[in-house]
Amino acid sequence: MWRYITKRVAHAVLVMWMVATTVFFGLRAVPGGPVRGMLGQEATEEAVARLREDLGLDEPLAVQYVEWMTDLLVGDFGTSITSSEAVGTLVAQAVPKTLSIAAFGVTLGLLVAIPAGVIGATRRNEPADYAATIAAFLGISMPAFFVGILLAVVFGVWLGWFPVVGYTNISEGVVPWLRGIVLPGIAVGLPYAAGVTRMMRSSLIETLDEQYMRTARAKGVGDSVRLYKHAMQNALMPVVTIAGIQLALVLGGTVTVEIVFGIQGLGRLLVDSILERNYPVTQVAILLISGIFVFMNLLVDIAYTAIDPRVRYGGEQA
Amino acid sequence: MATIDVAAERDDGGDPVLEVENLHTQFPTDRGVVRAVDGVDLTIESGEIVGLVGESGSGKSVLAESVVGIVEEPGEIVEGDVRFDGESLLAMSDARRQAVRGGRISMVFQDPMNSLNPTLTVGEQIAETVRLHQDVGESVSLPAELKRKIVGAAKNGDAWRRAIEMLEAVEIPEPEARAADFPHQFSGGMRQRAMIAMALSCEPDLLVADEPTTALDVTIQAQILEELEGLKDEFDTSILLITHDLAVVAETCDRVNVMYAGEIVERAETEALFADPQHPYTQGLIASTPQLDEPDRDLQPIQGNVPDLIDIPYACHFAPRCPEAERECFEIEPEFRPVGDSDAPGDGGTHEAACLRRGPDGERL
Repeated sequence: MWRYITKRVAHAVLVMWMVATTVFFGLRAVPGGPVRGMLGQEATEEAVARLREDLGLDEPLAVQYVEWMTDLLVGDFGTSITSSEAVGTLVAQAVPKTLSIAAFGVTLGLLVAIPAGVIGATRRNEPADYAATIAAFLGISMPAFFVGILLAVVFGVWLGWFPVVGYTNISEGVVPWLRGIVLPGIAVGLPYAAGVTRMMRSSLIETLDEQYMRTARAKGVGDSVRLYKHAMQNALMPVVTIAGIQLALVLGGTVTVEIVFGIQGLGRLLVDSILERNYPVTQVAILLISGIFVFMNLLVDIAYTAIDPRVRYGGEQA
Repeated sequence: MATIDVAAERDDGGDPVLEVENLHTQFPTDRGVVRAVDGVDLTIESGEIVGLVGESGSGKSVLAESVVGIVEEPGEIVEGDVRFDGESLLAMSDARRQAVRGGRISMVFQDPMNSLNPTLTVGEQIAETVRLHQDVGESVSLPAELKRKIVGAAKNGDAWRRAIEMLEAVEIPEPEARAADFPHQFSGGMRQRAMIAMALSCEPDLLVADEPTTALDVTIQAQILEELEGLKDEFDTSILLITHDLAVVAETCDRVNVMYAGEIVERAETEALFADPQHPYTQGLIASTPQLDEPDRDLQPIQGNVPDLIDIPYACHFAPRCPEAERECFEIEPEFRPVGDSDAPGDGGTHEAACLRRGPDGERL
């Protein structure tokens, strides 16, 4: 099992390095640079050259890359080009907001999706199943920002139950914090719940058809024990995988949902920095978002050791 | 107590453990009703091994599932009766039925690789059966079972001890250690042994073994069959052995029923059936099986395939493939008639076939 986990961690580190490299070169392949944007169209060639030198952009790419990598390794995220603030500070302000929204969305999503999937599978082709299926398809087909706008209009503007704009730090109280993230959390959580519900339903239906479920019936195991003791753990395996992969949906959703709700999270930071060609900020923001994704999927891989004895005992490679 | 009654009845001898009477099991489908079991009669006496032979798609497995009471929806038993120790299983309440299932009637399946739950230890899967059907003072409620699943089952309880005993009985080496293994750590043969251990853990009166050796290597096959026979005596269990393999039948069964397209077409003592097969289908089946003692003999496959079991329009289901079929075979429902030589050794006067072209002189077509 420890070999399996070590392997997964090494894998995650490798993925992060590849992300960092891709981001670095990818950004510089995009036409336009920060300098022209900062100085305006009328700036003289000398001014441009001077600023480029100040920012270190005149160095060969390879040198910049090595410099950035070594800085990253010692935890120096660099300085924002436009505001000369430390990128670390900017990001530290943004991350808790994004994480709060995403965590709320994922928790809510799983709390809805797993029971809904179980109901769909065990009452196949009954009204409850149809309702869950329709809801799930609605959820899958609506992007998070659209759900966000609907929620903001109904629960923010019309009913006034939740704030429409802004974010309150948890240090200022749990309730105001929660009130701030409920709507954006639901907005990113619903599409997520929809995907997981579908997976839970189909996986459980498949599991209930397995031969070992017939064995359980043949030995006289009752319905509820069969469902929760014999089927559930097997059915959860693909669900856990999907729940990890679908996190990308949640993180992607927060980028747009933060803009809808005027929250200065990672997503907002990312979009703004891309528009300004603010390389250091963009790089770190993307790196962090992928970092969260890779880390969560690492947790999923580790969760597998608890769910699947074949992985735990190293019998089969997952 | 019911179990004591059973033992008492057994001493009188000759009471059937299982009586299947005019059983019809059907599956409604979009294309029509599949008559998987179409009027089957079958009896198993106490202590017998009774074979049920037929090709794939003849309805053998559905018959087995009907007996155990695990026919998958939308399939249902629409007619007939299954009596166990004289009591109708179909008339029982669901709760009683569930108590009988796995306890007094148990089942072994064809595919040992997929018939054990990959997330439960082998020992736990056996111990669970014991807890369900024997009074070992361990709760089988959902919370108790879930707790067991999460924190692990008690390794000092009677149920677990019984699981180890059973693994030992089916000759799993180091049963104490292996009981804590998961199925993927077992080989195919060991998994089938574990299935048998599970099925016999509550000393059932009837074991339904559906192709128990089909998925195994030949050497393992022989071992498993031998063990089954030994265990039958040890646990005093009757066995319904379902197979398409005539060699397996010849090796193990006391009596044989030959099934074709949802119906039994011939039944006899094993020796009589192989010495003097009567129904054209049985004859074809034996002629299409390689014989070790006659390696030069040409194999004669039966032409055609088992028909779809939907709306078979002819009286004798085998008629279209039968080399001897006449017009009447398609029109007149064949009844069972005594066939064979009742004075021959091993016949016992119970040899019957459902064919218009067989039977006593005068009745034969």
